[in-house]
Amino acid sequence: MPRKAGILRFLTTTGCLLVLAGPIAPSFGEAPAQPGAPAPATEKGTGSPEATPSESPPGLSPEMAALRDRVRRAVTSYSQQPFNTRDNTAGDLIQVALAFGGRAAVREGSPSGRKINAIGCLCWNYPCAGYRLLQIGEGRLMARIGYGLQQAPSQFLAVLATSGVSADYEMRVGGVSATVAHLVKYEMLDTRSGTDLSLKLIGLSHYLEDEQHWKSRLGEDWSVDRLIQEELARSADAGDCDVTNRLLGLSYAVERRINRKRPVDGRFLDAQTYVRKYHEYALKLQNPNGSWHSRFFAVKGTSRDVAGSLRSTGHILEWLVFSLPEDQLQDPRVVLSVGYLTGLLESRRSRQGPTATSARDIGGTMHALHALSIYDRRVFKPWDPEKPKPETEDTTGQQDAS
Amino acid sequence: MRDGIRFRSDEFRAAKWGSHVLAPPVLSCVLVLWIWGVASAEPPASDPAPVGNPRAPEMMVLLEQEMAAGLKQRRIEANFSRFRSYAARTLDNTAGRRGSEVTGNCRLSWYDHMMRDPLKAPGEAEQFTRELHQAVVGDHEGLDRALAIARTKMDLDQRPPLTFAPVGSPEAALEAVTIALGGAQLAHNKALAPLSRSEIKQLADGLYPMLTTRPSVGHTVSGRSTGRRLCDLLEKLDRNAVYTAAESLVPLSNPELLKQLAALPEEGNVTVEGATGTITRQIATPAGKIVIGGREKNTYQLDKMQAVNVVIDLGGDDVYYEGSVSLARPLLIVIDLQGDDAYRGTKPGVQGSAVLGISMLLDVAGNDVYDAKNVAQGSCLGGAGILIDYAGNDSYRGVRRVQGQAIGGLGILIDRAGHDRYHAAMWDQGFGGPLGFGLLDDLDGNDRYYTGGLYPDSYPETPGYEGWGQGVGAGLRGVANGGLGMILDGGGDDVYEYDYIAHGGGYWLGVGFARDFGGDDQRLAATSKAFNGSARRERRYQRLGTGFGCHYTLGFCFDDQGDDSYHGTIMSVGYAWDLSVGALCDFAGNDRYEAAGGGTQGNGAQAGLGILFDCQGDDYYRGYGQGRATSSISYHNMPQCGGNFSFVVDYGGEDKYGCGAKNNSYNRRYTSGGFLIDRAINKSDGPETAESGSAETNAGS
Repeated sequence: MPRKAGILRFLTTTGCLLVLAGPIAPSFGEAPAQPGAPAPATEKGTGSPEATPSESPPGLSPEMAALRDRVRRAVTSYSQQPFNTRDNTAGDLIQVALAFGGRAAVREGSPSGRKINAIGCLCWNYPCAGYRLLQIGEGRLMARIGYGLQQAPSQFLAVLATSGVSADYEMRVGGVSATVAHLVKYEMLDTRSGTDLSLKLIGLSHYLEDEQHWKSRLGEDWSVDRLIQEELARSADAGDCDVTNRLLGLSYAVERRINRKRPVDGRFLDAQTYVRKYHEYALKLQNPNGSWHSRFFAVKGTSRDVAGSLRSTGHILEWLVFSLPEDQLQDPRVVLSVGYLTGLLESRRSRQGPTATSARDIGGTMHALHALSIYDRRVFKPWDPEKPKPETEDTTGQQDAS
Repeated sequence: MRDGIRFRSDEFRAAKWGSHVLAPPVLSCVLVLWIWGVASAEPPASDPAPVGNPRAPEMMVLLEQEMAAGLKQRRIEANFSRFRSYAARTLDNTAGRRGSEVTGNCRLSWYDHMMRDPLKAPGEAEQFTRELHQAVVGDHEGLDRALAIARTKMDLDQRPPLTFAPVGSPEAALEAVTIALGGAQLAHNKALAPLSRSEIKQLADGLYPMLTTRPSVGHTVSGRSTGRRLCDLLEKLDRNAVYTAAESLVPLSNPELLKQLAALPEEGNVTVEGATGTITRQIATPAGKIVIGGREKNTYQLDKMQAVNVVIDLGGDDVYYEGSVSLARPLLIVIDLQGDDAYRGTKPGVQGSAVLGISMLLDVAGNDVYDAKNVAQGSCLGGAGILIDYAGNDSYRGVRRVQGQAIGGLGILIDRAGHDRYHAAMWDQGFGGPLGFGLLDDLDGNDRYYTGGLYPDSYPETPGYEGWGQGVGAGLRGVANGGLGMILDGGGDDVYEYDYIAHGGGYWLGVGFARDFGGDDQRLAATSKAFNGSARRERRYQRLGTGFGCHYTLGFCFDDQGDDSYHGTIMSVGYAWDLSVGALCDFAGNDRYEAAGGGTQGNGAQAGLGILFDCQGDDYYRGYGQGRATSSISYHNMPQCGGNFSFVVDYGGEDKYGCGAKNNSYNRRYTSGGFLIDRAINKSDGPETAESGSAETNAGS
């Protein structure tokens, strides 16, 4: 039995609470990770599940090679932004972690401070612009929501999942040491019917086995299957990222299922069918320049709101390049959007700054970068020349960023 | 009485329904039909219970038709068209402009719409205030409707009505609190998301001092460029999300939920820093901590409880200190279920108020005292603050920006029962600044309202104090357009005291509304004593009040029932100044209009439309100013601006006019834009036509 699954089974069967013990070395206040050091450990081979391999892609055309270079330059360029724990909230850092995964680095204390790992920083509950993401209440570890914190329920767990952070990765709150598994346990307990479960679906479908059942705090019976069912039935706001979060959650659960080499049946099949229908719908709403309207799927047409267009196109493309079958990734419409986003990011590079950018724009940019990273890995990476493996194995679990 | 201009009877025979040119005889017939129809009018069963005078909507139609007919009869329709066109051009020319004193920032489309059709505006204002109050009367579902109405008027997205799940147990009620807290936190986060950290810091640092403590006058800020910058940032705020955050808290106002919460068991005793007395539980949620206080007396030092976002107190006579809501703690909910409680604070953003945050205070029972300084008691600067007191005789005391005040969001104070006292100095009691929806609605009881008495007014030529309250929508002169301010009172014999620029008025591209739905009310105008209860240092003098508009605005005062009195000194009781509309409409009772100084009782000046409209009862109009319209205009060019338009319209009763006009007469007051129209209503014998006894005169001129 994999270690993670073992931990979770133990947690769910015993209802294990955190042990409120004293500080465990390294003491709080130490850096969660040094530059380049592998902060979040990963469970090998069970990282984020997108990219279901099928046939080998055709060779890269000169145009696609040029696009690859631009995409990588843009992603690299943005990864060097001076996000830091003085000026940026925990909410900002969750977005950075989404875009760059386990390799995401931020500066400690100031834009010129030392580099620390973003996920480690969040998991060790560093104050970020004064906001600490995690808290312990009634013996349980939970991630907080609100201004400067998570922007949506279960957002942090979803980012940990898509970054491939393992369930036994350490989390610290004050003097209490815990693991990601404890956060998983809380998210299980805090499942509530009739609410937005999209990001919880990403997190729990990643960390739980498909067959696992649990009881929520309210005594409701839950499973990944039921999460899918509830999300399929939920009406999402077509004019905001709510709609893409929902699609991404469903897609993630399906891809995770495929990744585990389990049959796509029952609710998973329902989700897959639903998502595939939405692929065509989304592409029909695409503008000739590759963008989507800033009101996502609520409006077809272009918008003068460039930041809004970056945000909507970033979210929509992120979901598309994650969930489209490999043979559709070089569909001209998808390539067009990749080029559009890359161009937009190139042109807006100089405007970015840790305090001069709104949380909405940071989110939009980071989702766009995440989209490009996924696209790079799925379309361009297979054609990279083999490099000799470094002596120290990369254990960040990072799979998205180039 | 001098000979007047007789209107030609053939002119009226040509008039017909729906043309806005009803002749006086036809209007008289309509009046009789209206009186006969009162008893038979029943609202649809599905509608909320009607409030106020059931015939008020029809009266407003009659008023519009009367004014239109008068303009036609005097052959000054073209003048009025120029007045409208001039207003429209001014709005067009200033929309979006940042360089001039009149700007387009923070402008509301409903304000813009009403300014372009001033004859219809009083009717729209009547409908708005009636429907808003009708909504507020209806518990949580009504509050939901009220917020939906606010969305409409504040240019926000519409949404379907909220659905309220049944609350069958105390634990289910507690779960509902958790859900509400989470929803509000997420929406608040979304509200700030369009702003950068540095912009949020500018607002957090600047809003309170710039808009509250630093200004030495009521009408603008010191440092207009900074003020404009702050208003620009408020425009960037996701105000839809602000409303969503407030709407997340609406289910908490459900009486059934509150009843279930009151049944929560006292099952423990935990220690919470800042609280004394028994604290039965502390619950941690991702959205914040919930603390439950026991049924005995508690004290809560809320600012020492920064990690706490919800306080539920089960009973006892409790004392709450501070409880400021700002970025440091952007969300606070206080639910007190029993007892005579005291809420004391000196910081901004307390007692159901917020600076860049979301706050709700629900006090379910008892005679309560609310004592604060600035930005308190259902008030906000960027965000939403809601205070609902369900019962008891309560006292609300604050200084500035209190008691249903809003800039960049929602500020709502609802008192559902009891004889209450409201005491404040400036920007209060239903005040809407830029992008603000400020509402004070007291549903019942004999209430006393006081605003002013502390800050000397900014007019060097007249004595008195600043008021800026009781249903005032005001912009910041040279900085930004105003919002919507409403004071509504459901019933009881109420007393209103107010100093300058107060009681149902608009200032600087804002709109204000005051409406009292029942009882014999006294609008005393200037405060009788100074703010602290001592003798006034300034002579009693009130300027701009009781249904007024000043500088590109609209202001309305309505009274539905009872024998009322209206006092004031100058520029009040249906007064408009500088391309504005000001109207006072009293729908019933024997009323006394005591304000008799310059510009009182249905006067328009500097291209203004001033209206005083009274239905039924034997009324007394003191002084000489009724419906006076002069030709003097220095602010705008004639003839382009159209002129001044003044109307006093009185239907029914035996009325006495200080200017010498007779009952059942039709009078020209100074220029052709001045009207004093008195019509009789006779239930048994049918209409006394205006024609028979209404040969137009130049009454008193």
